[in-house]
Amino acid sequence: MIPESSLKFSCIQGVVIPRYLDARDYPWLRLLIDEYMRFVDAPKFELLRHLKSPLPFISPTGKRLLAMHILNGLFRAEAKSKIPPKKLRAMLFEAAAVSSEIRESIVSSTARSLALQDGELETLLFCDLPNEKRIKKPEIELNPSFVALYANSLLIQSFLARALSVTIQLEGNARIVVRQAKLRGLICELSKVPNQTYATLTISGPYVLFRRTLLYGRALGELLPQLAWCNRFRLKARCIIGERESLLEVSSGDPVFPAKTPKQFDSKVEEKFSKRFLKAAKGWDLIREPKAIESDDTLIFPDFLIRERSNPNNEWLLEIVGFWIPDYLRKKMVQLRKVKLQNFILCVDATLNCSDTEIPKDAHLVRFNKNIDPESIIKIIEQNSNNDSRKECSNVRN
Amino acid sequence: MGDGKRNIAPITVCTFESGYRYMSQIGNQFKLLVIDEVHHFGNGIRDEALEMSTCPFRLGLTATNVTKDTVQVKLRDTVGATIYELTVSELKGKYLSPFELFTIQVDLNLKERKNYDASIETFRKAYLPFAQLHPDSDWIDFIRYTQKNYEGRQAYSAWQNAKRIISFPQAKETTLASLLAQHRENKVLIFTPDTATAYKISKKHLVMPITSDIKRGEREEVLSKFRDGKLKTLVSCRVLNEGLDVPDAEVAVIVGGNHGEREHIQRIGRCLRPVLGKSAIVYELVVRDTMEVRHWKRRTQSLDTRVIAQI
Repeated sequence: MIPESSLKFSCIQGVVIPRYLDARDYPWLRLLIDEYMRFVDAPKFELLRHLKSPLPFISPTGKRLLAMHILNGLFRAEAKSKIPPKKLRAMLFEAAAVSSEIRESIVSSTARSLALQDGELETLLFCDLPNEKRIKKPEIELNPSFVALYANSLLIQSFLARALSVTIQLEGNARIVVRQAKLRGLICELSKVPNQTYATLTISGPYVLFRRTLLYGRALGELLPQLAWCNRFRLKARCIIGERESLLEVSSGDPVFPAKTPKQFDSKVEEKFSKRFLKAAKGWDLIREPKAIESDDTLIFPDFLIRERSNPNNEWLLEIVGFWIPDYLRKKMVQLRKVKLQNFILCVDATLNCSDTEIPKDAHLVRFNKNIDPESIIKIIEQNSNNDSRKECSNVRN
Repeated sequence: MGDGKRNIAPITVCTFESGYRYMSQIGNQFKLLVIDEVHHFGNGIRDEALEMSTCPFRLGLTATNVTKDTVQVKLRDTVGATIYELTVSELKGKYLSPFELFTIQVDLNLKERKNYDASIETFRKAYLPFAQLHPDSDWIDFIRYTQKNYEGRQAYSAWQNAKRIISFPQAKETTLASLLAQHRENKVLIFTPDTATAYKISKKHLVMPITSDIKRGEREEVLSKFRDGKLKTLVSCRVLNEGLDVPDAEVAVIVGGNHGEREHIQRIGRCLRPVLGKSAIVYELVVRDTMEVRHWKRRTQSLDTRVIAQI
C-alpha cells in the first residue's frame, strides 16, 4: 500500500478520480524500466542510491513513485555463493581478531583455506545481505503497459485500504470473489436484488473498525485482482481521503491487474462432465457458474446452467455436491422450493455419502460414481421439459 | 510471542511487531502490561497495540525518556505519567562505570572539501528560499517539497552527497586505524552514521559488522564470540544502540551519527556496564567546518547537562 501523501487523484463533487498511468506515461516508464535494467547484476544499494538522485528524464513525481514501488518489487535481488557468506564472515573476522599480520595476508590465507581467490572472498563476504544482493532480471519481459496496469491496481488498492465501506455488484464468477472475501476474513454480506442478474457483496472497510488496521486494508485490497475475472463488476467505496469522505468507483474496464487465472473448473468431475455433456447434447449450452439464486438469507451458486439453444427459456441449473448427508440435500431442496425453482438438478457422489438415512424423494437427483453420466441428466430434462423441447432434445441426441 | 512462536502463558513476553499484530486477539487476557523501551511508542502506528489492550495496569521502562510534547501526551494516555526517574550520576558507580570522552576533530582533504562545499551550495540554493517562504516549516516539509521538482531532487541529492562525504572521509579513516591499533587488546565498539560506512569499515579493518541486515541467529553468535573474546571489535550503525544484550566493551568510537541526544546516550551507555576498576573511553570523530559540528555540539551539550556535568 502506498501512503496517503503519494495517492494521486482529483476529486469532483465528492467522487475520487484516481490519476491512472496511461499511454501518455509510457515514454518515461520505458526510460525508468531501462534505468532499472542498467543495474541488473549490480548490488541493490547502488540502485537505491541511484534512484534517490534526479533521474535523466522528466516525469510526474506521484506517478513515478508509484511505478518505482512496482519496479522495486519486480526487480528482486539474489545472492550467489557456493560457500555460505555467514561462514566466510566468521572465518575471516575471527582470523583477523587473533592475527597480527597485515590485512592483505589475513585475507589471502583465509581465502586459500576456503579454496577461493583473494578478490572472490571479498566479493562474496556480504553478498547475502539485502542491500548487497545482486539485482536480478525479472523473469517476465517488462513493458510500460504492464507496469502501468500493475501500478494502477496498486493505486486502487491503496484507496480501498482507506475505505469505510465497499459495495461490489458481481456478475459471473462471483463465487471466486465471495470465497476469497471469506478466506481473508473480511466482514462482508452477500445479497441479491430480485430480478437482477448480479449479486451484491457489501464489505465493511478498515476505517469503520475499532482502529484503522493496515492488515484488514491489505486483505480488502487483495480482493481487487479477483474482480478482474468476473464477467462484470461495479465497485463503490466510501473512502476517507484527507479527513474527508469521498466516493471511489471502479468497474469492469478500469485498469485492474488480474489475479492468476482462476481454475476453469473446481474439480476433475466438473471438467469431465463439461466435456462429455457438450459432446452428448449438441443442442444445449452449458454455462459455468451462472447467476446466484437468493433463498431466505442464503445465496446459492449453481455450478452450471444448461440452456436449450433453440428455446432459451428452457433452462436447468445443475449443482455437483461433494461430501453430503441426506439432511444437507433435504435443506437444499427446501431452499430451492422456497424460490419456486423446479429446474434444478443435484448430482451427488455415491461414494461420498456420510450418512445412512434416506435421501429426499422429490429431488431431481443424479447419483454418480467418479463421473457424471450426461445421459442421465438429459433424461431428467426430457422427462420434465415440455413436449417441444423434449422432441428437440431427442433430435439432438439422434 | 514472536519469530513464529505464538504461545500464551500467564506471563507472556512479546515482540513489538507481534504485539501490534495480535493485540486485537489477546489484549483482553492480561492484567499487567510491561512495555520495555517505551520511548518507541507515542509516535506512530505501534500505538494501536497499546490501544487494543485492555490491561488496567501498565508499566513503561526506558533509559532515554522522550521530551517531545506530543509524544509525552500520547504516552500519558496509553501508558501513564512518569512516576520514577534516575539520572546517570545516580546510576554511576553501582550501575554504570565512569568514562572519559575525547572529541577528535579532523579535516577534509582538498578534494573532499571541494566536493562538500559544492554539494552544500547546491543544497542551500533550494533550501534558503524555501525556508524564507515557509518559516514555520520543518525538515519533513522540505523533503516533501524537494520531491516535487527536478531542482528539489537535485538539492536533496546534494545533501545526501555531502552527508556521504563527511560520514567517513580519509582523515576519519586514518584516525580510526590508529585508534584500533592503539586499543588492539581492548574490546571496541565502532558506531557509524549509516550501514554503508559500517560495511566499508568492516572490509577495510576486517571487523565484524552488526547491522539490521545481519540475521538474528548470526548476530547472537557474533555477540557470543565478542563476549568470549574471539572477536575484539564490532562495527554497527544503529542496531547496537539498543535492544540487544551487548557484552561489556571498554572503548567506543563514534565515527558519526545525527540522530541526536537519545542515540548518543544509548551508544555511550553500551560501554558503561560496571566492572570493578574499569574506566571506559569514548572517542568522537568530528569533521571541522561541516554540518557535523552542529550535530556534535547539540548532542554534547545535552550530554554535558545530563551526564558529564553530573559525573
